[in-house]
Amino acid sequence: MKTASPKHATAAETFVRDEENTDWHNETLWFVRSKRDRAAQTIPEWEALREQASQIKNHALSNLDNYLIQLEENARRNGITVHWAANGDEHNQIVYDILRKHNATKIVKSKSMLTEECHLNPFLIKQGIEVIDTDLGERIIQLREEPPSHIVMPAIHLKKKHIGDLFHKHLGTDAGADDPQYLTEAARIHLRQKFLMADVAITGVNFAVAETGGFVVCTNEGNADLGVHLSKVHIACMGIEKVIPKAEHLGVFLRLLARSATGQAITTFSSHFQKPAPGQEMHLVLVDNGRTRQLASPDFRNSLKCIRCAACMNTCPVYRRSGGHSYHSAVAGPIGSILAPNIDMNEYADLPFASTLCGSCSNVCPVKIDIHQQLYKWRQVLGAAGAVEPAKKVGMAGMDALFSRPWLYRFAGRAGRWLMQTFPSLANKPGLNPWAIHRDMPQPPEQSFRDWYAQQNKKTNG
Amino acid sequence: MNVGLFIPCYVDQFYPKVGIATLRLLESLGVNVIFPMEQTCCGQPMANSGFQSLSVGCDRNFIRNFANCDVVVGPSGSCVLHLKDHLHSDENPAEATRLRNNVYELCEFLTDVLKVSELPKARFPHRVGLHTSCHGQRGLHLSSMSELMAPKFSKPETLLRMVDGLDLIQLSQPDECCGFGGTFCVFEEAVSSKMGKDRVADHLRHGAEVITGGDMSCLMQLEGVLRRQKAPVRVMHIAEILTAEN
Amino acid sequence: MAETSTRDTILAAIRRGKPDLLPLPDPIGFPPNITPDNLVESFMTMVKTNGGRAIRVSSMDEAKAFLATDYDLSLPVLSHVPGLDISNFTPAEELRLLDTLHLVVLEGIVGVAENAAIWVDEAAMGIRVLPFITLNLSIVISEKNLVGNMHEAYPRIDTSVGFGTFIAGPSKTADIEQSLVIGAHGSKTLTVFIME
Repeated sequence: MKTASPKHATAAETFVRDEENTDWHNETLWFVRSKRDRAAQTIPEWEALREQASQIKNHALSNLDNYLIQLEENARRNGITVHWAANGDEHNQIVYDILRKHNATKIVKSKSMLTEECHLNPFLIKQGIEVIDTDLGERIIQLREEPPSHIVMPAIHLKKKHIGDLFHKHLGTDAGADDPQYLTEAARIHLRQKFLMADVAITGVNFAVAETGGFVVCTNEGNADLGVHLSKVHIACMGIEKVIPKAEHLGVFLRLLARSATGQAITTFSSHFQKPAPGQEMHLVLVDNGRTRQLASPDFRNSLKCIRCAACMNTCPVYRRSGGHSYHSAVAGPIGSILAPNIDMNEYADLPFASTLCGSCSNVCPVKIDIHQQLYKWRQVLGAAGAVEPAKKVGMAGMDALFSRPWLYRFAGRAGRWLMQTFPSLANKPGLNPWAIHRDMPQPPEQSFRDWYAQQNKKTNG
Repeated sequence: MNVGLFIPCYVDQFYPKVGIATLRLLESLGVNVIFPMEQTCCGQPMANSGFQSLSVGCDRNFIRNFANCDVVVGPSGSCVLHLKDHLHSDENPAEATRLRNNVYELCEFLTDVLKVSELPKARFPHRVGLHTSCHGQRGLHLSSMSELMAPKFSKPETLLRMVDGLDLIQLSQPDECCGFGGTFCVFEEAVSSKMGKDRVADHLRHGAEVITGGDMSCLMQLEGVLRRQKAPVRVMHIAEILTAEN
Repeated sequence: MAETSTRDTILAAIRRGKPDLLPLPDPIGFPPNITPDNLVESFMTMVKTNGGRAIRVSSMDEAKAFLATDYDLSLPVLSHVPGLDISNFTPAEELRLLDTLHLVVLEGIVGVAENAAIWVDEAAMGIRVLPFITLNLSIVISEKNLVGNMHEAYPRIDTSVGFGTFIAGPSKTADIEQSLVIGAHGSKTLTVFIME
């Protein structure tokens, strides 16, 4: 089996090398985490609310087939065309077929991590279709031709200066101008024209409701709505895990989502799409792409509860200091690290190790996914599948040999301490010992605890 | 009650004084302590690297050593959590379960089992920063967590408050991870070191003279950074402070 | 045909892989933390937090006077609120022409005190794009239509309408360095009138 290189570690090392930028990134995201804390503190029943959300999602997953059938029936009754896609390629083809039917060449798209996961944009662009991401952050990274580094704040890794330069080049803003208000206004004018000219609007889905056959899309900018309501065709793309049983359940999730994501009480627009507008066409694409495989795994299925709030990213001390791109997957951070290996175990074998297992992610998760436990379990799966570096496995087998033989352990401990005392420069040599690049090794004592203990006992008994 | 003293391998080798302080603290509280001489490691380094399956020998050795103990107490939240969650035996599952249910981190053993309410001899007149270790906190629930909307408490802090003269400082991020993370500290060296630096900075900014905690692995990480920076701040395990009498 | 088989394959895989049925929590939701006598005040505070403006009025004329002071009502204005007759604009078939709208006034159906989200549905909008395409948006909501939290809101809204949305403030973004900018793609201002 092919083994993965330590990609996250390498990318993270490059990121951390610019310490000032790392501090800025860390503090920016911690600020968002703090806003989340303040928002959660306003809800005395916060923890019970998380529990309800978790239970609703667990229930929905345990009855997923029936809820999808109910959703499909009700959506069709409402006049929505429902499509099913087994994987990213099928999803992209379905979208493309709809576009072709309408001779559509200009698309506006609001944020959808699913389409990111399926690589829809590059596929459509290759077919000669203009795809404009309309969320400001997404438009920024689209102009920079890079992937999002965060699922809620896609351009969080960029400073306003970068965006000023980018907009100067692409939108003709004044050179050197980097005032966020000014830049946002420029983007508004630029994108307003795109909204007005679009043939088709593509959106993601935050929640689909089996009972009503409708779905909810949340934005702060209003970009999803502007696109959808001005276009003749609306294509909404969702992973099959997004379905919830009833509209009343939205009350639970909408109280949690924005508070967890940005510390807002609710997103500015929580739009409930039920039926196409007169003269409009509405499509709903239901995508599997590995989700049924994840559902079949008792250890990992509850990752499908995720509502994509990114609270786990904002709190993760590793994410904050390594940036979203170091995760090289559509969804970064702790949740990405437990979703990605299900899609490609070898490609993403490094991600479950990009964590100290501190557990903060599981605590902020509004739907109580046991993220850090799943990181641990993925490590076991990857270890067993031979998807980690062979040297690591040899090292670990050696370690067990050492620790299961107390005499060997005693000898090795003594020898190790002796070596460190005799050649301290060796132990502190960064080339031989990665620990020592930025940290000193502990000063080895003369005696281990057990040697001391044996000596004491000898004294008392002798 | 026979209390088996579990001294994690790296504490045994690098920080014997922590083992000594733990033993003295327990004995001063009237506990009958046994130290099984053939104990080694809890198996966590292998398991966290994805090879829990390779820690069979390690688990077997642990179970053999602590078979005669009613409870096991160790001065490390991380190792204790690992045992609690993962100690496993195909040969003797009942014994593995018994030990999993009867292993305690030192602070929780003091506050919950011994119900220690005062440490009359303890005196430590210094400004102390408490590093809250993730596995002890979020795994063993030794203290409340900043992410959860729940009443505040801290078992280590409760104990430190019993020490005469001790001035406990407040931190900006009281439960941010130190970045040690087991093998993470070498495989993700860059991020790990940066996390350690940032954690140390929080303590230094608030005027700590000593950084303490219940997990020597975190403290080893912080010590590594402090010594590299030649900062005039020491790390001490909480057992050392609770037994300090100067 | 291909789609049918994909559908069946997915559903079969779910049936094979899903866990045993887990229960739904019962009841759903929580009683509001805001007492009835605090509804208006809490709601108004949250409108401000969301970047909007909240004004308590006792008549449509009063609301009209506020709008006349703050906005140039000779620019394209459309009101769908009965009794607030300030429309000077007839929407054409072509939705793109709505781009010139300066002010739209709509009726809110339910307002939530905890987050100041106001439910506006298709019937109240007439044209779905109105609250998003206009430069300035105003919503009139009756005090008696305020509720404490989202759990109280859902039973009072008709989720079978073609389209409806909770609006909580003017459109906004913080995508550039987390700096909050009011007025992203949608309306740049939101004025909420709470009718006694």
